[in-house]
Amino acid sequence: MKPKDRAFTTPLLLLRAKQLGLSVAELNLLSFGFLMDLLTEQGNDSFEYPNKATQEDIDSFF
Amino acid sequence: MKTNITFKNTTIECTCNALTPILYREIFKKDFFEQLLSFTKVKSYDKIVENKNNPEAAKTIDPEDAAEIMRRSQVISEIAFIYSKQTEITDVERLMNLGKIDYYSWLSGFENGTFSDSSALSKIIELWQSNTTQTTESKNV
Repeated sequence: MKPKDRAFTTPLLLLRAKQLGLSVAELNLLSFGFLMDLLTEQGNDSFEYPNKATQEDIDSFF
Repeated sequence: MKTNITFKNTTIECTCNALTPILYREIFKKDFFEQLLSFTKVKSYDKIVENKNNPEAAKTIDPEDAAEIMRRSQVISEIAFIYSKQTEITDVERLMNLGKIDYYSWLSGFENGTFSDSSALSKIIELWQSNTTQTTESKNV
């Protein structure tokens, strides 16, 4: 894991929750871990997943 | 996360979730994460608390350490207050508006020293940790 120098604070928690579109009332329904999972998945949205070979790719290879 | 926590002889029904840090910040004007992290700075906390309850050893406690015990006991009781209210009150607007007066009247219902018990801190942290379980891995590591 890369070192992080930005401390996680309560305002940052609320900012990230609002960026996810969650209301304060909705936070009362989620565990903190689940919220962090949502943030992780949001970060994963920008990940460039490697392309999987299609049947066409395999056929052209042979 | 919901559980019963016993502080000395008093059992409190406790709940914590993603709203807990926001309630703590709103009601006590302090950062929840900063307060939790500050507990890791003094390693001999349990020893200090044990010595505080021993009249002979208490004489040797450094005044700065004694002040630290007071501060920590207060933070533990503040977090226990939030945990307790999250169980009692489900209306978020009411939770956000809990004032200090509610806290002090709630606190007055406990025996003096209840939250300075050496096991109180670990119980507070254990419940918070059980609420932080993650199952998703980042692809950007």
